[in-house]
Amino acid sequence: MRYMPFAVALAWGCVGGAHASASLEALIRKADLVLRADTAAAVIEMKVKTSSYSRTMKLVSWADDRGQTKRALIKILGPALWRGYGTLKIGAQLKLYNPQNDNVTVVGNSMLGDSWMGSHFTNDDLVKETRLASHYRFEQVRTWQADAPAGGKAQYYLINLYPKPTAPVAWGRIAYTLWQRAGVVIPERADYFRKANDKRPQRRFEFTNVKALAGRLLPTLMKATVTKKPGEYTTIEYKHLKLDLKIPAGKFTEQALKR
Amino acid sequence: MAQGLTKLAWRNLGRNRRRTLITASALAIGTALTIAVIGLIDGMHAQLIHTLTRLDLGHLQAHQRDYRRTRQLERTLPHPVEVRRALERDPRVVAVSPRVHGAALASSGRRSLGVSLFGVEPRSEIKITEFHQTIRKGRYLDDDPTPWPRGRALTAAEAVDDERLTQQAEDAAIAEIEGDSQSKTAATPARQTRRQQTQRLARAIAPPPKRPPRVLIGKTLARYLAVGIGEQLFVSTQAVDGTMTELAVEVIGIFESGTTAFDRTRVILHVGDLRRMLHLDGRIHELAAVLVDLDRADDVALSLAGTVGPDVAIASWGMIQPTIRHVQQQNAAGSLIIMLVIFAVAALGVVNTMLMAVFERKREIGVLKALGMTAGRIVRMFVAEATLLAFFSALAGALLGLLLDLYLHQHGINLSANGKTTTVMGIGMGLTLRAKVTAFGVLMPIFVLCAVTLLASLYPAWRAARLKPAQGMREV
Repeated sequence: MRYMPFAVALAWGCVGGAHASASLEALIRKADLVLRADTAAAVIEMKVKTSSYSRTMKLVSWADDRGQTKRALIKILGPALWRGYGTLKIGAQLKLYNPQNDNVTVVGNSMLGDSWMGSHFTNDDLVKETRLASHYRFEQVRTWQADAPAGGKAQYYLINLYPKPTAPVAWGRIAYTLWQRAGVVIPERADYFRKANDKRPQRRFEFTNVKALAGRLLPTLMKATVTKKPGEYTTIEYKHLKLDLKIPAGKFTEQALKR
Repeated sequence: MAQGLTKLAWRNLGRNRRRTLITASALAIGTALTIAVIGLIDGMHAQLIHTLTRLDLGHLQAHQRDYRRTRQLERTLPHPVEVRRALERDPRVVAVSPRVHGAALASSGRRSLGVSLFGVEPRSEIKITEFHQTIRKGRYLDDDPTPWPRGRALTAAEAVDDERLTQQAEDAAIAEIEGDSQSKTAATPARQTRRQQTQRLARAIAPPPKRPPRVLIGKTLARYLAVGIGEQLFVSTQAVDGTMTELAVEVIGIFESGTTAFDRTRVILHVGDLRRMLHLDGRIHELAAVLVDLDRADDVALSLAGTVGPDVAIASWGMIQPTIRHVQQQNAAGSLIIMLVIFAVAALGVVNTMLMAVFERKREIGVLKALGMTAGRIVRMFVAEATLLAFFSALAGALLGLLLDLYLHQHGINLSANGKTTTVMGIGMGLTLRAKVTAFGVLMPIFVLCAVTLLASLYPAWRAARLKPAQGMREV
């Protein structure tokens, strides 16, 4: 399971299992490839809008998914109030750096579910090790033709993902919309339902602004919304992206977190 | 005639003094023990309620309507000044104190722990809770909040600077991503200046306090984070506007309340300081009040609720913590069972004694009946005998019970194990369990004793009344 920070919704693995039809599995496999890489680095613009505040932050993220423990480092580039703040996540271990006090805080597991920097992402979303793919079975709901965001006609698919009986996952169902055109599969929307027959999803990820970045066609804007908080959202826009790059040595250390 | 019966009953009791005394002392000891048990249970409740109300809740609290359910920072109390005035004006209210609550991560060195921040107004809070009395090391909070300059928005020029710094940081990041090694080495001094300029801008928007805010922490937390008086720890929390703030605070006092949750997770600081940390300005979450009469808190809460507007919820300690009431009810049922067991045994003793008396006096009863005494009067005679027995036993028992109660109130039962306090449902019970003497707790057993004894005497009395005169007189 390899993917970069914030690309959580894209994080389907390749194991379809006996239940999945071969073509669905292939689709998911291809969609999964969109933002997948052994290593990745990106400059991201994050916008957070809640009922009581809205803000925009620039950040740089580094991720290495090669080893047994996934590693990620995020540094805030601006504005001034948060510039230099850092988050280092190695597996389930989380460290936060505050440049104002020059202090590193080691965060306990109990706070992994808390909001990251006031956004609609949790600390846990930064790097997640749940093997979603091997825990879900696929079921096609419908398929149709429509105009693709990148131009031309595309084949759309709405696929339901249900957890397998023994899967240790929090969701009862994930409704996944993706489209295929000229061999490229791009995710468009993922709705997360707490229970399989819930009418409204608990949260939703939407993928737009499909364009070529880092040599691939991919959605560069992701929007996360929570049904319980209407009008609130967090968006992530990839400004610069490099995949499968050589990450400088010592990037996932406390020194780099402080630098 | 009735007097004659009482006299007769009294003399009958005196006929077998030893038996009467043994029965009476059994009844008296039963009464005394029941009084003591009820006293101890009442004492435990009083202590639980005391801990709950005087270490945490107060007797009454006012919040924004949804605050207690959601505990969201932004749900602050509407019209705090007016609500406070309304509470203070009420003659049933003794004192009122404002509070702010927050959740944070406290860290020191390599260790961190989730804590609850408890912002209080030090001067009025001592009238509500007794945390100031549980301080084992150091001292209580200062009356005034930490001097803390106000922040300001960036000027146009500074905003441009800020954007330029962000752009530079972004360029440097992209250069590093693209593996441009030359820019990487050149970046180090630039990064230093960027950092200094950022510091300046950030401090203009959100200036730090003049000195670290002072806090009180629990003994368990102090031990876990290995901090002592005068030492600092970091508290990081999310403000109401979503900003993460991390602040160094200074420990000036370490308390030991005996209540696990408080000693482990509570950080107490000035309400003004916590408001600044959470960017709450003049807002508060809670008003806590202490009343003249703790037991009338529900009534006061209900009557005040109508006067403060629909956005404000006023609740008594019992409404906030209904579990204590459940415990109270369970224990009341428990003590009733204990009482019934004790008195059932006593009643059997009474039945036995009275039956013996009836069998012994068959001849007399026969003679009395032959002389014209009615069955009803015979019943009354035996009942009178039992009543006298119960009355004097109860008197002695109550006296003994009261003495026991007073002793248990004065000296208490030592609950501490190795100097640690005992907790019930995580609520500290203090070092000793003391009995609480109430009129109800003393009178109830007396009443039950008299009732039980009277009932127990009915059967022997009925046996006596049914005796045929000729048959009775034939007995030896």
